[in-house]
Amino acid sequence: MTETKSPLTDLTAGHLSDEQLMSRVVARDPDAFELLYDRHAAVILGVVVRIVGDRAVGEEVLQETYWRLWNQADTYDAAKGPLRPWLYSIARRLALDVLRRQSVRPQAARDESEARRFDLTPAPDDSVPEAAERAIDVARMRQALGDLSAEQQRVLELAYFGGLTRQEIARTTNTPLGTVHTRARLGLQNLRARLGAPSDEL
Amino acid sequence: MDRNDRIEDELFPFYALDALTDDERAEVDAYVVANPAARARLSALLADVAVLAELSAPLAPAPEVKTRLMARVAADMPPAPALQTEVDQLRSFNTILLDELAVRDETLAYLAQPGAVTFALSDPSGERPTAAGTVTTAADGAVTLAVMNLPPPESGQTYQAWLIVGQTPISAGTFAVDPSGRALYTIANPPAGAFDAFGVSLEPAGGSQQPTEIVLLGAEA
Repeated sequence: MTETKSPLTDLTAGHLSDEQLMSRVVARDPDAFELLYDRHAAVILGVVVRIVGDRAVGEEVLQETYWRLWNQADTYDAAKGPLRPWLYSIARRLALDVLRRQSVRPQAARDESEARRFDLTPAPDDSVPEAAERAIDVARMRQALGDLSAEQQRVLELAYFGGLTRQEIARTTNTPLGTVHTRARLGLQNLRARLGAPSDEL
Repeated sequence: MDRNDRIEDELFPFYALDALTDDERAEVDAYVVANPAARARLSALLADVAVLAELSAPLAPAPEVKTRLMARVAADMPPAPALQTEVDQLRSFNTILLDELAVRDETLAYLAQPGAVTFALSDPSGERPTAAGTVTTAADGAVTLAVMNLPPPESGQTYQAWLIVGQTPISAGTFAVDPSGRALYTIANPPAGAFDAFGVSLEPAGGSQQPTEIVLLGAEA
């Protein structure tokens, strides 16, 4: 029989990690699911809209992302890593699928200025303390990203937000494949070094 | 296992960025399955890449998105086990009640026939105080026996109906009761003329020439 778990309260919710909440989602706990939505929906929508360039389409992708989280929760393996990358990966892939169906390239990832691309406006419904805390974190992350070379940033952008393979990045940027490898590797290494802590603690 | 520089330096970053072909991704998966240290390094890269997502401007979804999503989740939830059990029990009870009602309706239909004469049967020995029956003779002469709370007979036994004329019992055939002890038995081709009493006996399978053990007996007052 499925273990009966008490409903989550505001008191306990803040102390549960994403992975702990996810184990409750696997046991079909809608309260845990809702908490994961509240925690990450705004970031995911930001990523998705950045890829598809349309808020309404982005909200559809967001809903489908969370529906998959609910329906395919048992496919998440905490041993392979934290929840956030897994969740972001679902959203990103769905967004890129939409983009490919529309045969539209991710202009947002290529043409906007750095300032616009890393605009850090908090979500309007963030509570003030959470928004302030997040703003500090994001400012720190933005500084770390800003310390990367433009070439390293571009490789990361084209891969993550553009959905390009390493070979496509090499062709798009007219760069040898080996250089693309180096830029990606160093870009991620530098990002971690400048953040100075494991990013899952951010 | 030795570190594979090509996989870790060239493919790992793009695995984390989700920018590998399916074949390349499968190659990485196969490599880390047998290499826990490499798997840990890849996991760290995945966390690094999550930072990229969090550098995008967050956008608060419209409240309707969450409302629709939670409604979808609620509709997908199975009924709670306790509630499901209760529903199953109520359905089962409802079926029993409907069956019982159908039997009573059928009995009432016989009792309510114009010109019908009905009398009650009971256990003359008093050993089966809840066992009871009615015999209805319709205006056209058809005789119907209704019994309740007669325990189902043991294997090799049956109930037999008797029309008693004077002191002489005339077999009216054997009949079965359902698990709840009920039966509605219409006697085919009852003998012409009135009978003085009606009995039900417990007999060996196939019935007897004479009643062995009378369990219900009654006569028109």
